[in-house]
This record gives sequence, C-alpha cells and structure tokens, in this order.
Amino acid sequence: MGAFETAKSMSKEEVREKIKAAGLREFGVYNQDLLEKWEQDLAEQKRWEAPLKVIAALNNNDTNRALLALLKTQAADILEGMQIAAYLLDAEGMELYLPEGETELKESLAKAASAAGIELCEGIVNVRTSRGSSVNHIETMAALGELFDGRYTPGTWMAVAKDNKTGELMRVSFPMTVRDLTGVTVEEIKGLVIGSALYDASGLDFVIEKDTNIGNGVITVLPADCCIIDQEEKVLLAERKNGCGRCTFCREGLGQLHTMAKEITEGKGKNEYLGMLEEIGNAMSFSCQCSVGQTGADFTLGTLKYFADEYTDHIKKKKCGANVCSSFMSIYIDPNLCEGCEECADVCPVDCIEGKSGFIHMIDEFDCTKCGKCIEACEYDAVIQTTGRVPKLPTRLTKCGKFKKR
Amino acid sequence: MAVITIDGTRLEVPDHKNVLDCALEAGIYIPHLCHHPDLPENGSCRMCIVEVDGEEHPVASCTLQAKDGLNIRTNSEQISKLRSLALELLLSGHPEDCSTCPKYGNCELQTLIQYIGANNARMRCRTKGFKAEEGNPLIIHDMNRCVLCGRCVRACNDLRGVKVLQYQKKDLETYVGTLHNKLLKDSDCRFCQACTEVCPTGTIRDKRQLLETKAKKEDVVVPCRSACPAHTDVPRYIRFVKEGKYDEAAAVIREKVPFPKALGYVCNHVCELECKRKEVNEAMSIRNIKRYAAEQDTGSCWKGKGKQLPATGKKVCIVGGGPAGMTAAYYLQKQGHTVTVKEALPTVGGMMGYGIPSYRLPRTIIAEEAAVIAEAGVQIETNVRVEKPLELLKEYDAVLMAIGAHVGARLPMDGNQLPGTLLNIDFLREASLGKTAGEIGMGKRIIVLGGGNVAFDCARTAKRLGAQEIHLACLEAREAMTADDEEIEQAKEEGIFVHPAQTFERITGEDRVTGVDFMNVKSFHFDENRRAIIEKEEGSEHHIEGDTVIFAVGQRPDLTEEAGLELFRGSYLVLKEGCKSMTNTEGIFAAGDVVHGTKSVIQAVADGRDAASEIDKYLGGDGDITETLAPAQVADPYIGSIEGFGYQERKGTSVTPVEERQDNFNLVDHGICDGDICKEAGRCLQCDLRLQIAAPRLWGDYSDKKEANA
Repeated sequence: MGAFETAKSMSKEEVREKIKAAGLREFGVYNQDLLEKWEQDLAEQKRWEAPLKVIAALNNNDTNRALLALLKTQAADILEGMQIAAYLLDAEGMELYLPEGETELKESLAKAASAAGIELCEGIVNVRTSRGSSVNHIETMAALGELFDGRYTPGTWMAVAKDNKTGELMRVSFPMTVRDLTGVTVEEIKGLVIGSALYDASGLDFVIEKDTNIGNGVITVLPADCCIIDQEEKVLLAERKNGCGRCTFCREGLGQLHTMAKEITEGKGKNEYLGMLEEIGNAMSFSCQCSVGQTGADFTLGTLKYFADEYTDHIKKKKCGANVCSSFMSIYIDPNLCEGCEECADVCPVDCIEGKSGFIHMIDEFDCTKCGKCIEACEYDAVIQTTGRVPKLPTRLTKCGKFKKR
Repeated sequence: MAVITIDGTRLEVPDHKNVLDCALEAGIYIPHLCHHPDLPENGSCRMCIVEVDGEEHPVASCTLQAKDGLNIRTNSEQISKLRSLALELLLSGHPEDCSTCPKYGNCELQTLIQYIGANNARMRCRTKGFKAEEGNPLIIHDMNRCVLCGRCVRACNDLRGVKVLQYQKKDLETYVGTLHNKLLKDSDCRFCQACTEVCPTGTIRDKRQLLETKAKKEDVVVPCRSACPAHTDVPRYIRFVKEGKYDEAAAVIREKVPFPKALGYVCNHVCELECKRKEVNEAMSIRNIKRYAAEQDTGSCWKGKGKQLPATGKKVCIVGGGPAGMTAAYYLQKQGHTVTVKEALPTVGGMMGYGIPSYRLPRTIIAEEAAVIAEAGVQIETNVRVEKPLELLKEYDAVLMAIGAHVGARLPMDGNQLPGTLLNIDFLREASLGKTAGEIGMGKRIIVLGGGNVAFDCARTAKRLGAQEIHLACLEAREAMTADDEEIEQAKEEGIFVHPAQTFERITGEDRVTGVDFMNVKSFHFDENRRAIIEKEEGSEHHIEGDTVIFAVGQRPDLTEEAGLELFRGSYLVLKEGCKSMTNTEGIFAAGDVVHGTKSVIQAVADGRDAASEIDKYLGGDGDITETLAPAQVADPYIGSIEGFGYQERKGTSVTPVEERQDNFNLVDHGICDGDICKEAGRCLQCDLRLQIAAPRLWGDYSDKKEANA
C-alpha cells in the first residue's frame, strides 16, 4: 500500500496525530511546525475566500536548486506527500512547481503527476495568484510521503558548495555542526553562506538543528582569497534575475543593492552607500511577499555585519584586499621586457594594445577591461598586473630596447 | 461586522474588508498606488503601509483585512520613513520629466510625490531605455514611465479576462507587455482601454489625450454617443443587439429618437466617423445595427410605456411635418400639451418623404413611424400651408417653425433659366409624388451639377425615371465630395458618369438646354471669408451634351419677409441669443433646416428634441423630455479574449444587383443579414465599459475633510 493509500485509510485526526508524533516540520526558508503552518494556511485561505490548492515547490529564492535533486531521487514520495496534504486540508487541487527550463525533469514527472491529479507548473510561485493555497517545500512533501510509508527518520538534506560547484545532497541528522558538515578549517575560508545568510568563519560553529532555517540547504564556502563585495555583487545579480519584479522592495531594492555593490567593486563606491545598503536591506526583509525579496538582502546585511573593513578598503582606500576587483588593478607592459612580438595585441578583445613588430607595446588604460588575456598570451612575462604603482611607460612608439627612464 | 480603530477613530466595518478601503471610505487618507478599487490587490507598492498592534513590522493596509479589535496607525516616523523609501525606490527607475509628461497634473505618482515629499536624490537612478510603443491603435505604451504597480495587468486579466498584458522581463528590467512583444492587434487585444484607464502614470496613455480636449471625459471615451446629435446610447443598443435582444435595443434608440427605422436606413451616421474601432481596422456599422434592431422590434419594451404627463391645456402648433417638427410634436404631446402639426405636402416626413428617394427609404416606414406619433395624440393636418405664422398665435400658445429648406438654389450662370433646367428639390419632390419624366420636364441626357448626397439622389432618380445618359459634375475633388462613398459607388455601378473637380462655365443652348461647358479645377479651397478660391486648368474647356440640367447645389427655406419673422441671409430664421429654438418673436420657435440650412435627419431630430424641451419650459413645464424605455442593462466587464478580434472585418450589407435596381424605385440596400448581425455587433469595443471603472482617490480629495476634522 502506498503512503497516500495508507493515509487515506486513516481518519484525518489519525493522520494529524501521526504527523504530530513525528514532529514533521516545513523545511526551507519558512521552517516551522508543519501542522501549525497548515493551520495558518487554512486561516489565510478563509480570509481570501480563494480556492485551496496544495502547492509544492522549492523556495522562490532558491537559485542553487540543489534540493531539486529530490525530485529525481524521491519523486514518488513527493507526489504521495502532496496527495496526503491535499487529503488532510481538503484541497481543491495540487500543483508542483519546477524551476524554469527543467524540461527533462518535467517530462520525467509528467505521467506520475497526472496520474496523481497534480498539475506541473513552471517558474517561481506567484504568491499573489496563489493566495489561499498551501505552499510547501518539496522536501516537506518528501518527508510526508516517507512518514506514511514507514521510512521516515528525522533529518534534512544538505549540500556543500565550494569553488562554484555544489556537491551531492547529504543526509544530515540533527544536531550537526557546519564544521563537521563542510570539513573545512578556519584558515581556508573567509566566510560561509548558510542558506541565504552570510557568516564569517565563526559560522563553522553553527549548529544545525531541526528548527534552524537553513534555506535552500546549501552551505557555500567562501574561500579565504575571495572578495566579499565581488561575491555580494554576484549573489545580488543572480537574485535580480530570479525575481518576478512585482514587489517594489524586491525589484528596486535588489536593483539598488546590486548597483551599489557593483559600483563599489568598480571603485565608484561612496561612503553613504553603507547606510543605504543597510536601510534598504532591512526594509526588504519585511516589505516583500516572497522569499526572493525577504531574503534577498541577507548576504548584503551579512557583509555589513562581518566584513565592514572590506567596504572601507574598496571605498576609502581604493583597494581590493583580495585583488579580485579589477578596477583597482593596473595592467601594463614592462618596456624593458617587451619583445614586440604582437601576441598580446592579437588576443586583446577590445583592441586596446598599440604597437607593431619590434616596438614596445602599450596598453590604453582607458579602454582596457583588465580581462588578463594579454598576460596569458605573453611569452616573455612582460605584461604585468599590479595593484601598486605603475612605472614610467613610453607614450609613443619606441623600438624594443630603446626605452630609457628619464 | 468588525470594530477597528484607525488613528483613534473607531469604525464599524464588514469582516475581511480591506483596511485601506475602510479608511478611505471613512475619509481617512492613506497614500496608495497599486491599489485600485476595481482590481484585486497586488500589495506591492508599499505606499499604504500602516502599523498594527501586535505586528512587528508595518503591513500593507490593502491586503490587511478587517478583524475585530484591530488597532491601526496610519502615520508614524517609521511609516513615513518606509513610505519615503518605497517612493524613492520607485522613482529610481522613473524619468524626471514630469513637466513634459502628457500626464502632468493628472498623475497619481505625482500627487504621491507631493504628499510624501520624496525624490530620487539618494538613489542610483537609471533610464530603462525602452522604446515607446506607438504602433498600436488608440493606446501608447511608454514603459520608461512604468512603476510596475501592475494595475494594467490586473485590469486586463482579472477585470476584463482578455489576458493580453503580462509582466515580462528583459535582462534585469521587468516591464508590462504582450507575449513576445507582439502588437496588441496580434495579441487579440479587445481595445477596451481598461489598462489606459487604470494606469496611474503616463505609461499607458490614450493616443487621443483626454486632457488635451475640453470635452467631458465620457464624451471623449464614448465618441459615438457624443458625436450623435441626439446622443443615442450606441454602445448600449449594440450590446443588446449582440445578445439578440432587439426589442430592448430598439427601446434604447427610441429613448432619443422617434424615427429609429428611418434613421436606420438613411442616417448620415456621424457616429461611425468617430467610432474608435475605425482606428483598429474599420468603424462599426452602427447605422445598420440600428436598422436591424428597428426592423426586428416588436415594440414590447416601449409601446404604451413611455412618459405621458397629464394634459396641461396648452396648445402648440408645429409648422412642418419633417423630422424636426414631428419629433418636437411627439415629445411635446408626451409632456401633456395639445399639439397640431400643419404640413403643406400631402404626407408628413418632410425631406424624408420628398427629398430622399424611396429606393433609399421606403415611404411605408415614414408612415409607420409617423403613425406612432399620431397615436400619441398629435393632430396631423396635411395639405395645409401656413403663410402667416404670427396669426397662429391667436389660437396656439406656442408655434414651432420647422419648415425645412425646400427651395433649391439656382447657380448664377449663363443659361440658368433655360427650359430644361431643374432644381434638385423640386425634381425629387415631383418624382416622389409619382410624376413621370415627361410631367417633370426631364429629358434623356441629364447633367447634375453638385457633389453631395442630394446630387446623387437626383442622378439616380433620373436613371430610374428612364434617362439614357447621366453625368454628375461637381467642383470638389473626388476625395472631398460630401456624398457617402457607397452612394458614389452605387451610382457609378448604375452607369452614371461622375466628373469631380469641374467648374461650371455656362449652360449652352438657345431655347432649350443643349449641354454644359466645364473646365478642370486644379485646386479649390475656401478662404477665411468662406469664399471659394478656384484655380482652373488652362485650356481644359470641354463640353458635355445634355438636354436637362439639374441644379443640386443646396437648398434654402421657403420663407420671405412676408411671414413677419426676423430673417437672415434672406430666408433663415434667427434664434434668440443663447437659445436653442426660441426666436425673438414671442411664442415663435424654430428648429431644423430653417435655422441652420440643410443638415441631416438626425440633426433635425436632435433640434426637434431641443425645441420640445424649450417650448415645454416656455409653457410652464420642467423641460425634461428624457425617458427610460429599455430595461436596465448589466454590461459584463469580463469581456474575455476573442481570437483575431482586431482583424474582424466590418460586415457588409446585401444590395440589389445593379441590373435589377436601376429602372425602379424598389429598396436598394437590404441591411446586414441575420447571420452577420451578431458578429457585427460583437466587433464593438464597448468603450463605455471604461466609464464603469472608478476614478482614483487622490489625497487632494481628502485634504478638505482632514482640515475640517482638525
């Protein structure tokens, strides 16, 4: 007998009791007791007088999608879990959301979903049109399916992301420290992102309990040599792309945060940005309707809390401590090393290297994007990257070996 | 019911009602932008945030529902900070060009800027860089001004069910548009313009700006109704026709005009010139829809149900039984007065019966509609010519001169008095009376001078009377001719030669017309003194042979000083300043062509209504001749999507083939067929639906109250 069959053979009260006994919780950003959550969902549904649907999805803010793997490994549990939830809540329909572009996954689920009466939807959940519905994490639904199949053990699925790669999902039982989970040492890292929240290296002591909000279940390790503001800019850009653009504070707030972070990495940051980042970031957390905006400023708020000195470096000292932000670097061709082979000029994507065969080449700093291709191309190690002072360079075409410092 | 407290004011409100509406209705202003009373809540702009006891953070009042005991504050330091921030964020992507924006002074965002007092100075501002989309009919989309309140999306999806406008994303910018940025017409837009109506900014705008005109909003929004001289409620009756409710539709028309069927045949339909559907592809066939409704009408909605006030004992004489006179008679009778119509000709109808040929308007229709007026109690005396109107005042309390313009104009040119020259209106009248070509004095080769509908009526009547060759010449170029296109086309089909852009040099002949000399016109216009300035083409003299010339270059009233009334330009009656029908002679009123020269049946009807109202007031009534005949109509705002709506073509009418029509006076145009009428009515954009949408509530509307409270 499948999990849903089992649940259906029980009274709703018995189903509730079983969930209570297991202490099932909603996973993800909105970590809370599952039965309590459903009570709230039902109250909301009454308020809106809207049809009640059971929706299963990743959290809207989940751009990593590591937990989507559950739809491959535990698809049946998730579909069963949704039906159990629908049975208990007297729902009028069920919808399973997949991120945009997951066509293969969608096809693989199509048959089973339609047999269960579950509609497959694409994209992030529109909280406005889903008012009155019970939106649940797919991991919650998987646990529910397992519970009624007699296979449930407390725990959660997590993954560790390092070097832009997310590892396999791991089963984590409570409690578990981040140190044990990631296996990294304080020396190796600058910080950690747990779900959407940023911590400095002290985050290694963070203990994962059943009631901790671990967001998308991914712990991202930020290596010691990264630039936190460069990371911030990347996170904010991904969030901007992810959002639906309806809430003012999410759309424009993320836009402001991202623009400011970008300007800071480009050396155009201003002192007052710190205050603005904080003001907007704090307001976003309670001024948006879904997790994209609600957690969108988490990383930024973490940078302000733990990495204020990096802002000081970028804004006041005009330097990037990690040497990541290219605006603070100069690339020049050492006139004493250049052999005039023209290799650098050939690879330059913006055509900003002047010179001809046998002459010392020169980089036009104005157009240079600091992509570094010329550095790789030079056989004589004549193209130099520095954050320090640039020596005196020729200003007009000069034969190799003829340049003299005056 | 729930008792909530807003800023210390206790309010009893329905459970679950949103707090924003509760406050606004109680006269407490909370700024808001994405909220609109006719749309589901978006809760996105964060202008309407309030503090609620027990809530950690401010919440949007539009999505907050009333619950017993809620204690709400609409203002605090925290709230104003957050409101300012929300507005600053919105302005970071909004151009700073209020003073050149077409919405200046009517922009809800602008009023919020004034109320909240924020600007974009602290923000990183950007230009969105969208191209304003002006390629759609009626509507301009300029997404650079958009603040993503989403009202248009909700109006299009939830209010109208059309589902054309959606949130779209391009790179990092969210905007509102159609799927794949297709043109509205290709996205099955219904052009209801609800999006335009609800847009708080200058983003989605009417091409024809409401603000630029001094006209009332409803007149600009529903131009067919305002263009109709009698203000017939066109969208309402078209909707009834679409639903197959022809009696109801006819009743709507009858609320304004007592000749629905005649107008259905011959109205000059200025409404169609203004029809907004024209901008999408082709104007609605309004006249033919009216005709269909009138023809199907059984009278169940209006017969015996209209207004009939008790007798007043006042007597009114109407001189002239044309559309103006008969209309005035009808409504005056309904106001309780005793009305007598004196008509010089054998039947009433005026130009409808003696100008417009019967192949366009069968005489039975005029008789039928006149009978309704007679049934209302109007005394009709025919073959009675009134020479001395002033003497009527001895017997009557008021006299309305509605004698029309029944004297044709004869151009001052050589040969204009030769035998064989005829005048338009005499010719048409005699033909209408059933006289033969011989009796009228018409030959075989006819030259009609003039380019209006009357000229074509003359030419086509001559054809039917047996003329062998008919030429029609006029001063205007083809595109400037005032006749309806279908008249011109049908005349050509009947073998009538049309010569536009001609000057009439002279009528040739010694003792009878032998033809007309013409020259080609190079250019022709009227100068500021309304004098015709004509440039002729040198050496273009040519001659057309003919034995009959019909002048069809205008008519004037048959009135001289002998009538004892004040005239201008020889024969037109002068109205008292500021009046619609009262003359300077006590008790004498005037309406229709006798006042303004030849216009149209619908204008005459409208004039007749004005006259009835004014005369009623003169006789002690309230002058209110309006009546409601049609049942109330609930126009469903949820119009849904129709594939290819913008491309639906105007339905044509069935017309008798040329070989069967040119030798008789049988009806030529048979209107829209049964199978097409619903489709044609379904093409209507229903511009009037837009008037159902509530107007925004701005803080200025509340400031008086607030001051009063303070």
